[in-house]
Amino acid sequence: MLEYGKEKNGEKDGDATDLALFVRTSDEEIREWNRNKIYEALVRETTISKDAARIISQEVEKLIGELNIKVLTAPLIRELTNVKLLEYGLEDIRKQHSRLGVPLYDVKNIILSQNKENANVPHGPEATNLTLAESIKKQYALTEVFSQEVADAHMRGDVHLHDLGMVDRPYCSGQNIEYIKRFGLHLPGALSIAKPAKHPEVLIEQIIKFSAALQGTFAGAIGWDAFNVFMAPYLVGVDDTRMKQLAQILIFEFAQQAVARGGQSIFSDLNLYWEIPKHFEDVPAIGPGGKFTGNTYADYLEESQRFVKALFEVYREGDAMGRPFFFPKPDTHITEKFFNTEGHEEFLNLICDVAADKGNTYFIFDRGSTAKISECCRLSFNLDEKDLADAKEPWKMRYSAMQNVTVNLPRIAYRANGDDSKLFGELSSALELVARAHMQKKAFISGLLSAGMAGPLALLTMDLDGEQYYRMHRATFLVGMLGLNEMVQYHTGYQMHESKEALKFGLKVIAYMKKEVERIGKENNLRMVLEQTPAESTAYRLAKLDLKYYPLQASSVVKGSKERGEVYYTNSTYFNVSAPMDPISRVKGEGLFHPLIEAGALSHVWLGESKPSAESLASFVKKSFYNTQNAQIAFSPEFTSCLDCGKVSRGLSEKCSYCGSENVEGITRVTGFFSKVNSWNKGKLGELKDRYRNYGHF
Amino acid sequence: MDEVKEIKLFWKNGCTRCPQAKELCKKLENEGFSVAYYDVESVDGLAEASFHEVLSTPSIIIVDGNDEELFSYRGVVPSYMEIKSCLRA
Repeated sequence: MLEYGKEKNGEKDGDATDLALFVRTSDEEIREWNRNKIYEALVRETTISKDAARIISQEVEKLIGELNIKVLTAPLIRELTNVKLLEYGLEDIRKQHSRLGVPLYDVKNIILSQNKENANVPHGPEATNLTLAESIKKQYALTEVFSQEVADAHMRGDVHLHDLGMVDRPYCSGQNIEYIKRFGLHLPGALSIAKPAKHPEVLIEQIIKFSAALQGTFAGAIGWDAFNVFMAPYLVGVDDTRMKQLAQILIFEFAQQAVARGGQSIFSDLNLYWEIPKHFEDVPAIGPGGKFTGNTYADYLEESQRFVKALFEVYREGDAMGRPFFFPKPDTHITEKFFNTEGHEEFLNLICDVAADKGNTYFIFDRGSTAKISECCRLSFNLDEKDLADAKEPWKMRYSAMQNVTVNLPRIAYRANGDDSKLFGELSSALELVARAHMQKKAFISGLLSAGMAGPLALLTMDLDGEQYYRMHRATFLVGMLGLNEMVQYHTGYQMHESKEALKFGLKVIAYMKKEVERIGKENNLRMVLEQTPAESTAYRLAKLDLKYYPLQASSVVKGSKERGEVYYTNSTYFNVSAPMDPISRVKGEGLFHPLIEAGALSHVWLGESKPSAESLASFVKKSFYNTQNAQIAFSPEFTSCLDCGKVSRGLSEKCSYCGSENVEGITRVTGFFSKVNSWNKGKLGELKDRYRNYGHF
Repeated sequence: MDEVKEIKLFWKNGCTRCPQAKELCKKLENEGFSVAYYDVESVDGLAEASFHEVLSTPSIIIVDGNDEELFSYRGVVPSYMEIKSCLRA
């Protein structure tokens, strides 16, 4: 594409044609001025008539001649052309002729300072590449992928479209290592192809590489189902030392993939089981070389259990400095069968010890006959009958969420101004808009996928088992919610932990959303489901926007410190994080919402610097499973890691408690994952100060 | 035991034992008990069911004046005598 630019070489002002002008092109050449290039660009890029394009190009040339500019840049000429288009009332043409880019000031900031939108992105040239690319793709998304109505709703803060900077990818995915075991590493466009692994070390390497490849085509998490179960046939006859070594290789390789995209670790989830899940018991097992072993997975219980124990031993040790591993996240499924499987007490103690010491363990509760796969911060899917049929050929189990759009709930309450019917009416309108956003994203990604192997999502179109890797018919479209607590507080005068009526109103809002999402999804033939939004940056962004557009209303309910600018809304359907509730009441109360939120919910138990005993956490986990409806819990301790002496202490402090150095890093969970506190945005820092830390409850 | 304030019945269409549970609740209502009927497929019914952690129909939850659960029958229909003896206790 040609860009315009000039160097002014002449003495005379006035008619630009009298000047010796030079055009800088985007392919890094300097060419002589040619007014016709403006004409050609307008005709090529827009729907303008040829006559109008000619007039505009003449006018721009005249304008440039009149301006006494020493160095005229390419973007400026385009903007001058855009100004002329506006003067002639050609706004649509101007939009088509837009130039997407980043102001110099912003580029400087991006290169020199940390990305605070995602705490999983460190600072470095790869990271700034990511941020710069994302900023342009965001603009592209809001200009081209989504309608003006949807883009404006996002920019105003009525809703939040997640991962706009990765608009050309689906949101997140969950799959099964059987695909790699069966087909090897056979990636489109790869320079070499690997056969199915014969050894566990090689299998692990292939899984990590495949995860990295998937990270390049999905915006968010890469999840693996029943990981230890499917590794098991490769672990027959492996002694304890090698088993531990394999667990270390796996965790360190995932944890240290910060050399991948944007210097960002792969947001990876390993779903783990103590038992062999019922739906995999009779499935023929695939072993070394991608060959069926003649056994079923039920025959590999011992190897599966030894491996998952080894994984948790590595989590308990932490990295070389004793810090918790941020990734891969161990999503441990607690089921009825778990409690009926021999050795579960010992294993529960081990994973609770890891939870108390390092915080890694996620406890996912699959009650009754539910089978779930978990992927992202809290995203999970209940497996339906069709999925359970797929479970007989587990390489087919490939799931994805296409996109996540979050509704700003407090704003709806401000608009309703105490009127119930207006509130629910506004909520329906917002959900209808979310569905339109989903349709637009679906159409865009479908277009990219239809280009097949020649397109940008070639990996997702590979077909090794008679079906495209990305199964569009199984994609879900997530509807998130933010600030239910503040919505309820504004509408009823009470926060959800303060009154039963307020809590019931919160439940009514989510029940209404669930029903509406089902109705609207059906009408649009979209598998739309509710999800608790992780809202790492959304909780901050939407609170700030509401303080701007609804200052009086928002000021009365927004959380955090307005003086320090550390404002936030309470995430999703959570209770106020600062409410001094005992942890079981919080887990039970927040859990009331979880059966309504199909695609995943989680409760946090913040531990601060305390370190409860494994036994007390194990008893808490059992109570949570049997006496609540909570879908998932995680315990989050805090750490201070000294960069001078290398020691790690519990709690967040300004100085190292061992050597007194101020060269320290704070570490705890930001939303659904661990990260360094110095990379957090201001809203999350405000929330961190407010968190009730459950001292003395365990 | 605290005083019984209300009997809540959670039902839905197509649930085979719900008519039996409704009949039982009607009988109690005729005896002067306050009974609220919640269709779990309606928004209000679903919200109330969520509040009481009701996951199956029919379910009968008996609450006191603070909306605290005194006793419940989840996914089962008690006999008239059984529920009466609990209500009297």
